[in-house]
Amino acid sequence: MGSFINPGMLWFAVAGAIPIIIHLLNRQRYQKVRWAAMEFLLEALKKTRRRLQIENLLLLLIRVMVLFLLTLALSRCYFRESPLVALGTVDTHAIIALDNSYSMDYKTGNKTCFEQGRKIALRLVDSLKTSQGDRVSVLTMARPPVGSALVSEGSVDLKKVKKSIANLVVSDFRTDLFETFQQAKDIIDQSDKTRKIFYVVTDMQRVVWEMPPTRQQEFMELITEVSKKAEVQIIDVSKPEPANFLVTKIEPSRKIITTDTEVTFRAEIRNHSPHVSNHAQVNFIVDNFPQNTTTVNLPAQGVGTVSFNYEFIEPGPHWVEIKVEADNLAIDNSRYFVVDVKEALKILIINGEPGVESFEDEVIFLRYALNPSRSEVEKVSIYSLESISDIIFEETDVKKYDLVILANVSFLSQAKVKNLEEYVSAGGGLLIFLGDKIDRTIYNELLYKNGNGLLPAELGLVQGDQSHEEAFSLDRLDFTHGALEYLRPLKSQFGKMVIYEFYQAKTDPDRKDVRVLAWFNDVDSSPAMIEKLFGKGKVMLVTTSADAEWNLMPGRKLYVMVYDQMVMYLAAQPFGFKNILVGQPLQLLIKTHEYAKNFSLVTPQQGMSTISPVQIQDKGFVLTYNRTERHGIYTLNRMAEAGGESELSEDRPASPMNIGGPAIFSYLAVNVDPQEGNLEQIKAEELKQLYPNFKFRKLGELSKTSEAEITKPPPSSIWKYLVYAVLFLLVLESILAQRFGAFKK
Amino acid sequence: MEDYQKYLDPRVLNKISRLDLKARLIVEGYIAGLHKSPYRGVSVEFATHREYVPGDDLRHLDWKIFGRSDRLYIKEYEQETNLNCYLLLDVSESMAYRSGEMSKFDYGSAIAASLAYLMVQQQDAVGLVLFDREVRKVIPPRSNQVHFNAILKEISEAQPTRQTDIKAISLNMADRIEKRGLLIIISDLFDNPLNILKGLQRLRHRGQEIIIFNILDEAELKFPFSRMTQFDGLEEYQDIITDPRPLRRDYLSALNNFTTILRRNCLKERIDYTQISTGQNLDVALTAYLATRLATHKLGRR
Repeated sequence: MGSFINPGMLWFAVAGAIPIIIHLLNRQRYQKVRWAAMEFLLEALKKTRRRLQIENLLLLLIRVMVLFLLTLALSRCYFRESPLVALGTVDTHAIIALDNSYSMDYKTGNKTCFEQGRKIALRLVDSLKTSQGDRVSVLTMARPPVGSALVSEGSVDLKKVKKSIANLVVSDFRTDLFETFQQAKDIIDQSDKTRKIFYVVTDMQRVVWEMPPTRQQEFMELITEVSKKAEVQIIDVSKPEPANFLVTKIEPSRKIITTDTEVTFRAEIRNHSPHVSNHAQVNFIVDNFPQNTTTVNLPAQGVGTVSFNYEFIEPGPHWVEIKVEADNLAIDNSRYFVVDVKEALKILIINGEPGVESFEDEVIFLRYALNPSRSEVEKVSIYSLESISDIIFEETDVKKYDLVILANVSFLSQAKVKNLEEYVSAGGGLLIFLGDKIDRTIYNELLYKNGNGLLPAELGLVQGDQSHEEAFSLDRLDFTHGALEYLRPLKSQFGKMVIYEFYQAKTDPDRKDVRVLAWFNDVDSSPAMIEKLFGKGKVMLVTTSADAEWNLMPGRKLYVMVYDQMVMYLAAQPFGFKNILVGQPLQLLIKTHEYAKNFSLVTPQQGMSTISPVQIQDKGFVLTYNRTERHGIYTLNRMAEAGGESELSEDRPASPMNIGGPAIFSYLAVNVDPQEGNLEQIKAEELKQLYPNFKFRKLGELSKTSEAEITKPPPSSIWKYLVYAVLFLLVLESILAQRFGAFKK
Repeated sequence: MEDYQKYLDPRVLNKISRLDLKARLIVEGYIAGLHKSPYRGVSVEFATHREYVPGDDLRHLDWKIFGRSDRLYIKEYEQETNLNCYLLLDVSESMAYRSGEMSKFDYGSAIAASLAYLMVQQQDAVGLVLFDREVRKVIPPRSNQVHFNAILKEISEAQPTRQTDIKAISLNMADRIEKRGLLIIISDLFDNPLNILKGLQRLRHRGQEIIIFNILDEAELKFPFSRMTQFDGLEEYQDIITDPRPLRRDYLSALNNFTTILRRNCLKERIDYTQISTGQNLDVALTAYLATRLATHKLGRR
């Protein structure tokens, strides 16, 4: 569609009428002559009339064209699409994508990138004309969107659209360029307007434009298609040389954090700037109370790490904040981490062979290994052990334990197994030791269930020498496994283990949820330790016994260390459930004793909503909350019912933090995606190299975007051609006028 | 001595309104320029006496009567001439065109008057025919002063108004003139040249000597117009508004073609054709006449 940079100059098009007016005036202004030699005049006239008419018309046409084209050139005529389309209507559909990811909150001077982008978007809307049928669609670029990404769809009510844009705010999300272009493509496909312009108002982050290799091809095809169907104008609202510090990761040193044990929180601080920063200040905050401050040296575009040690005194939910010193983008300076501090890890040991004498007891070694103290006051271990006979096991509620150990258990029933399955499936840990009491047929039937049960492998025959003259050891271990990763330095010690007997276990190598951790040095390389993921929980099978009946492991240093690590691994609840990124849904399993009809959730902005647990078959109650739109700590409280405490709340552990206030059930840490904090910009040339078929026009390099620049049409050399045409016509006119004039003379 | 030659210039002549004076000045200017006229001394025959009035030439005083009666009488002679001349003056509307100070008709009138004067001076009989598409006035040839005055009167009173038809006039005159003589046609000849020639052929066939003075205006010969012009057609032509510049070439070509046809055919018919521009001096006309007169005289003596 044809448009003009200087439409005011079009008034000069009237000048195109000048030659015609001169011609007409000349026809009006003539001298009168009484003429006698009319016959000769008529004869001459008869001969020249046709030629004269053509010549005059030609010259007149050239002169009119010269003025007309000159006017077009001065008005800087350009074509938005093909010149043919320019002959039609000029209705426009503007699709404005405004980047509202958190990186746009970067502020230098008195405006953030987003505020500048929003202002530009408003100006873009102002430049449209509803009188010629213009429409505007506005979409936000951060995903998942807060509300709807489509702020306005093909609206003609520009006032309303402007109001919607003015109400937009920066989100805590990342930019999703793929989704943005996909959505723009859908709008463009549905638009019936002649001209379609897709404005992308963004801060040009490299991480956003550079797609992962798996998506790059698809993305390139998408943006190429969009640029074919519409003019793409990328408006850069970034600030020059942005610098940003952010905390990218917090990691506790322990998988299970209990009271009175020191835990180290290690944080990764990234410096996204071209300058080295020495002594960047980092604060350590626990439960909103500043605890410690340290400094870190950060290389340019590099990473530094800080560590803070802390010992939680009170059990229950806690949160940690690690905060780097203030910079121009505040949102990612803090990172939060939620921990559930336990008083101790509760382990239920189901003893298949309780002995009268201590050393005959199946689990005596295991008990000592995990908690050598017999005193209830002196706390030497994080484990709190409870041992029961396998006969009474069925009546015990296993759900309140962090780990259940089956040691040489012979009495298994379907009810017991179902109970265990529900427990593991909900996230519990199960450690199974074998021994002479077990019946492999029952185990295979009830626990293995052809691979569908808890048992990681089908049990075969007992291997080894009953006379204990011949022994095996472990010759291969998978130290990459979480249960063994800290034992790598003791690798050589495993070969010295003495194992006389073990059950042969047949694993299905195709199953991805089953993993062998250790193998015996028998001819078949039989598995010694096998893990199976079951629901949200884990099951570990040790194919030999827990006591000294089938091996000589108890009493050895390695025995203590292996089972300590294994128990820790199995009992640890991943912190990930409560440490999520913005936009990720919260899904929390509620144990029976934790049940309340309603929970209140307080957002970091102190907004409150009430959520109720929903029962899911076989999994119990689940609390779900999807609107984790802002980063920070969300607090989940159990709400007391009208008649008093919930009837199931008796088992609720008393927490000092709950005294005098609402019962804090859990915290939830919602963090921003650290990738968005990388403000490095991609240049237009790089973009062209990356996506060669993507045609776009980039405006506003380094925040120099001005209104004139934005409303400026695409660089078009049409006006140049018009000037060439004018020059050509002038030369032609001179030649023709001279030639025709020669006849006249 | 009066510089008569200046009166050969039409621009000077135009300032003089009296035709007789014009004629006298033209002829005397012309004669003065010749120094000696070779055509003087033509024999004359006595006609009558009249009483002397002051200013009469004493050479013509009849001394014998004076001796006898002491009265002064002037001898008047009847010119003995062998030439009858008709001046055919075109009074059609086209002759009224003027671009300068004199119209073609004015110029033609001056020529006619001058020739008449010269002829009367040389005792040739001169008559006048005024014509357009028909003969408007005929004065038979005579050679006295009174007659000359009558010719001047007719010329003065003539008003060019209508179309020309030279062929018709020529045929008319061929029938009307019995005696052989000289016909001087003074016209712009804006008519069909072939028709003109047909008429002239008839006159020639009747033994008439013909001199044609084709009087054209300066503008008609040069077509000097450079701006948009409305040409109001004389002689019942329609008006034309046009840019004259691109027409000039073809106009001049058409005019040249016309005069070439006339000149060539006149030569063939032994007609003396002279094209005169109103910007030219008038002696051209007189010279043409005298040359023809001389030739006729010589033929007559033979």
